Amino acid sequence: MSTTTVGDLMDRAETLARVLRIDPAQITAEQWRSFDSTTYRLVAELHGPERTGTSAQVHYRASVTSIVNGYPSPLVTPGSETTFNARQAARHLGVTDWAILSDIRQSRLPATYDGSRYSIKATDLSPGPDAQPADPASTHTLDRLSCTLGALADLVAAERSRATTIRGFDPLRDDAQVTPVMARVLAITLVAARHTLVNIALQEADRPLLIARYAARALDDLGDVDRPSGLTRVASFAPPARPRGPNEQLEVALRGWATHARNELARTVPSTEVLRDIANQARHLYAVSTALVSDSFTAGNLSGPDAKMIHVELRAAARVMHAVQQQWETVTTATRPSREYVAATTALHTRLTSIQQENLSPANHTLSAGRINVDQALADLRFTATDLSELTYTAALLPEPLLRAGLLFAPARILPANLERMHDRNQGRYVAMQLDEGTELIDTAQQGSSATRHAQATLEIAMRPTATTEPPTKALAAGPSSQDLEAATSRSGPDLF
Amino acid sequence: MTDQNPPTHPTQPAAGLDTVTVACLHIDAAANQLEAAAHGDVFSTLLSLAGQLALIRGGIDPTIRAAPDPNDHLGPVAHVDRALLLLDSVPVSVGPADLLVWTLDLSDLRDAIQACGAGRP
Repeated sequence: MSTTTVGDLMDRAETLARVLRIDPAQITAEQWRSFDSTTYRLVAELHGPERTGTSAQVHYRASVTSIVNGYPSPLVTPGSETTFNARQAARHLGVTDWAILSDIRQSRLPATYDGSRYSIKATDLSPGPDAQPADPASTHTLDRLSCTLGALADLVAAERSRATTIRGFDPLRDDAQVTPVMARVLAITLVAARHTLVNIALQEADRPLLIARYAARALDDLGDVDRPSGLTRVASFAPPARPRGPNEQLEVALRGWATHARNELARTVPSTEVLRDIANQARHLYAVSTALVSDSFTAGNLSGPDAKMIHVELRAAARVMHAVQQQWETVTTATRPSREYVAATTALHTRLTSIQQENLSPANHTLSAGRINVDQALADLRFTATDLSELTYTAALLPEPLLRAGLLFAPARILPANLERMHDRNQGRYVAMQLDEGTELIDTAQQGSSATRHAQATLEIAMRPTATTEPPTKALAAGPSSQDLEAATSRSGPDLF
Repeated sequence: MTDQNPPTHPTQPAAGLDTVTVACLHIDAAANQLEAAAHGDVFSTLLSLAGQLALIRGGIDPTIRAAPDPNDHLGPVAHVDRALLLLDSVPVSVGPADLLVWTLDLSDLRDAIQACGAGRP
């Protein structure tokens, strides 16, 4: 699988930090500077661009902002588009506020003044000592840690630059989500700095000592942030260009579909055919997920009660999505779906059907080449369940503005009759719907949004480590039989639970 | 925008409807039949096939829907076959520019419908 998450990278970084404690290898000044600069870049990326919202928002972010601003004389600038005010620039360079103001007034430092404060481009500040990124080929533990944190900073930067305005789906703009991750980064920084202090030449020890003190203080300032963070689920995908085997083919199909579905929803007037198809694919994805969960149960990787609960929950979500699909079926925006979307959704349909009919068939149990890796497939489907939450949330926001704009049409025969529509009914025509005529569509679309969120949470259970579930023997004894679970996706199979 | 019952005989299309419209009605009728054949099982693969058919119909013309026809005696495959026949008869200069591609998609889907044994109404 070519997918990694913030949580995965954090886990790897923490593992490396533990290894570092018992690693006797000496650390050079260059290696430390790479780590130091990478850490600052990550902390700055987690904080993001300077917040210029209401005073309440600025106050809310004050603690996180002060931690970023308090980083002692960073060795790098955070990014080419970043700007500082005079105080931040002073802290960045490790000089007094007055020194910065003096440089600005004497034209030694370019700055713009908006009537209340100076704005200085990060790139105009004097660079510190040359800090190169760590060598990715190095086997030194600190270099490996630097590379991991660098990858994490890149992932965070990429996520932040993603064009999304969907409220509730952007943990990077929620400090309650950011601070737990920042605390873990600071803890890693403190461990690495203390280890470096005893493994670096004495004349180079000042900087690690400074950073160790800073990290300890910043950790205290953050306070108790021991809570789960949605940020750890932010993922980076790199599907293979030439997929081999059912798992890679599934991953490519899922990523392609999610990308094109987002593009379709971003159109000025989205196609109702696409909105309908998203609901249909959601239902299909839940069907396949249930089949995979059944297989996981059969293999002893999931407890009976968990498998049963997932089956029930996903079937309920599928019912809601089917209702959403039927609602979208009754209306149209007269916009055609794009060829790219149709190609992507057809590829996904083919792949999902193939998993149901071939990769999971009992006849395929002995053929390892054709058999899908169930855990990996479930992990990919879980990511797509997150995409579905986002897509259906966006879709649920669409009916009302489309109705208000008179862009949603329905057959006159299914709408309330009035004098103006008599002719249209007789002619079998479509007419623009009124806002009050779309109440059922609006409600159903919102129910769809809730159902996908619920299904997303349900699929998280399927990804729990085996150790947290019951032992397979106990599960088999306590739960439904494997035969009960295996027909979850048959065309006419009974509703087993 | 039209909203019509599907004609059940391709050689006698409803008066006033062009060939592409009639083909779309056949595609939609096939989708409706597949959906009915799922018998309310939301995990049925027939619903996915119905969704794919509806998407192709929407790609050709998103403003056409087939109203339910209780007297429809054709099966999903027969409806798709008739739609393919009609689409293949449309002159190049008539209909959407990418009609050929949609027809190819429909042809691929026809095999999938046949393979899942959903040939009868």
